[in-house]
Amino acid sequence: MNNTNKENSLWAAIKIGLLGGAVALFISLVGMAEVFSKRDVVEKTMTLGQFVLLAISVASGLLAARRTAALLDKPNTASQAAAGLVAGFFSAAILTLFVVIGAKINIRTVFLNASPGLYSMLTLNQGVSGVWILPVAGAVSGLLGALSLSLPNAVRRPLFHAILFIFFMALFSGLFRVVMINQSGFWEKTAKYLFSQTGMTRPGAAIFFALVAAISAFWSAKGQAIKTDVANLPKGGQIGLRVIAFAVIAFIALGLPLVSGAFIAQVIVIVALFILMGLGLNITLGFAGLLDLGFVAFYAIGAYTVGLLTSYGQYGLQHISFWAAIPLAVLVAMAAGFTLGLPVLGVRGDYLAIATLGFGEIVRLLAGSDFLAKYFGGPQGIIGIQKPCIGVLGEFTKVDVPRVCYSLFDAAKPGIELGTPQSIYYIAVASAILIAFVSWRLRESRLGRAWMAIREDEDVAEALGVNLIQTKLLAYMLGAAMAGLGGAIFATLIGSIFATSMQLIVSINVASLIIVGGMGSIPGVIVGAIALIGLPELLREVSEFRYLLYGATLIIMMLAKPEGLWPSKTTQRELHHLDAGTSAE
Amino acid sequence: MSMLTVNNVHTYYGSIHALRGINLTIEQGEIVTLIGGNGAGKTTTLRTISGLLKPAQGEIMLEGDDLLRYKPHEIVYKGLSMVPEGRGVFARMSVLENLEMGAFSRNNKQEIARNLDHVMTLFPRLKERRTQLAGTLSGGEQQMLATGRALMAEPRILLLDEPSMGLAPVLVELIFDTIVQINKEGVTILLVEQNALMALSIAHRGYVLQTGEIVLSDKAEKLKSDPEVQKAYLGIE
Repeated sequence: MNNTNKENSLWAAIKIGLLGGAVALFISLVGMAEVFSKRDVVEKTMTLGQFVLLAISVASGLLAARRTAALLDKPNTASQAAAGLVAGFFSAAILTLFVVIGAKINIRTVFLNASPGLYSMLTLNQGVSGVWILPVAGAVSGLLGALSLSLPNAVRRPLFHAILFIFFMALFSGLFRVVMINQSGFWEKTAKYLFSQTGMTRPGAAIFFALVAAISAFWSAKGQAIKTDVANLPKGGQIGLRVIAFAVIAFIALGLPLVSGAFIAQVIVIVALFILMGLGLNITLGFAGLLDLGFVAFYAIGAYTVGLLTSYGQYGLQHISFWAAIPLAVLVAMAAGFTLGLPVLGVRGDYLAIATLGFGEIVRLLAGSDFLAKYFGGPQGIIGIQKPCIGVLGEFTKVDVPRVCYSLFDAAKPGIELGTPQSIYYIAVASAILIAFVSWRLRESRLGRAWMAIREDEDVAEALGVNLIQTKLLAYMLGAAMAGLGGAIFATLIGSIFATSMQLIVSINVASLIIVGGMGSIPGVIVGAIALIGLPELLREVSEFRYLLYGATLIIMMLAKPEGLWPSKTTQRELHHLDAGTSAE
Repeated sequence: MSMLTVNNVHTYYGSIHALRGINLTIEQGEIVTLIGGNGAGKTTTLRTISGLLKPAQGEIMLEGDDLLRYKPHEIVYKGLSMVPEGRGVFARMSVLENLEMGAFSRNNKQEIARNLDHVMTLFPRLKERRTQLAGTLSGGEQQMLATGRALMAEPRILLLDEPSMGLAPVLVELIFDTIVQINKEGVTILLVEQNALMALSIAHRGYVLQTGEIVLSDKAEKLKSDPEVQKAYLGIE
């Protein structure tokens, strides 16, 4: 009996190892490992590529050790360590085999990324004779992973957190470095001490590691006590804490674009625009349960409306200010929502997905068509979109000359033109906050209840007095209005719009970010947009593999956390209804 | 004036002639039951009366008001509520939210609050579980919830579609007791049931429906002792 269990656990370790090896081979062959190896985690010590590959071996070892503990009657550290060693070895074995084969046969004709760079990265520049490094490193990592299981929680947790933090810090080190160096003086010196050109310096990594480990250890020891202390505070104290937290967040939000530079500001603007679209789709899909795969159409309509109304280029119609164009863009988007909603009122489920998909494509094709090129510019798009101006706009003189922005108080002085991403940041973030608030109020309203009721059961909702036509149309219109607002800001951010940027993939992105964040949850939309739009934009290395990671994230999410990153309370309760049953009074 | 009159109603599902000239009258304060086998058209009758299906022909009057003039969602404002077959609770909304949805057609917050209290006393189980998601309730609790939700609209006539479906006998009895109680409080009831014996034991009158036609109508007591009915629906040879 015990013998077969031992065999089983050996097999399990090999299987887990091979699985890890397959993952390692995959990320090597798609080119991720090599791209990652250009960035350092710790300067002159470990590249990000090595880090990821080692992490796979460590994880294999850890999983194998855990499996062994579950399989054996009397698990002990030695058997777990052995399992970790085996799994770690096998997780690297596949890559070893790959390097050996690759040295003999040119497999690059099939796998483009099987480049000499990849081989030398895998063998630490030793060539094929250094291939022994791989299985040894794998086995050691697997062993370490397995041994980490026998560490007490108080040590393992901080260790894990610190390593995770180092990983993220390495990914973002470039951004932090640039921002800090731009501040010059003390910050510049600190940045140069902590970060190298490609990653963290050795002292930098050590400082971060120690810091995070210490905080994590402190929190796991004292966190609960602090939480109860806060909960026991008198009401005034709690409100005070909230006010302080709010003030800190507001201070950071207001000050961020001043230090961040154009790139980070632009990424945040784009995240905010996706939040606007996400909140819009959250109304139609999350609240009312009406799938819309052509959601980008409303974004496009908002953008084109602002473009046509404000552009000083040849397609500009009215040359009005951005501020006057925004409400019009929202209204036009709402009208478009009505136009989409009306014909698909009776359409449900899969058919609705197809119909809305068609709508999105029709809008994009019409906007970019030669047929309508004299109105919408066709493939050339609309350029010369007037920047928002705080002040008074001068007269429109002639095509291709922007209207001048004058000061509100002195017509001779220039006003404040919001031309940079840093200044659009304020418009975008304020809009996102406003619309999040509107969404929240809508959800708690009578209309919000009606949406949820039709999402659950249209017939019953109707029998209870919900006007299906009105309720559904309002869902389409309000969702469209939010996306239209996003599009309007997008137009002024970029200064020009092209039909080709209104692809189906944008709609899919919006739907994905809602799913990842948590269907029907407003904070979920924000978290989803940051995770799916913000991170890939910030991480240039990763952006090449954006859709690969997207797919992986979606699958993992659906398996591990189907309710989303920040689910609405309802979904949470639905998926864990046993807890709900016990917590009910 | 009768509470509800259904006159020569014909309803089609596509080309299927589901109701072939239904005639019903329900007086104020009655419990009337509609019994019949599978596919006889019981549910279709209820869905037609509550406006979810449009009859091709015929007349449906609620206290002399022609119901066919109204859209489905307007009918509840006329004082007619339905508890759908299979309960149709909003699974991902809490018990309380479900009940509040039931009062969607009403505005007076105080009255709604009073109604909520009343429903909670009628079904104490719902009070216990008011924060729980409706989808996680047991079948009997869901039936209570669906009934309570319909009552939240403060109807004068309540249409119940198979309230006993899939419930344990104890629960069926409990539900039927509540129906009688609701009726005593002045709500007229049209009850569709496969469990004909139970239905006839609480109803004042009954109609027997067969392939879309009313084949028999009488006092409940009489129907119960009718040999044909006994044989076909009560399982008594």
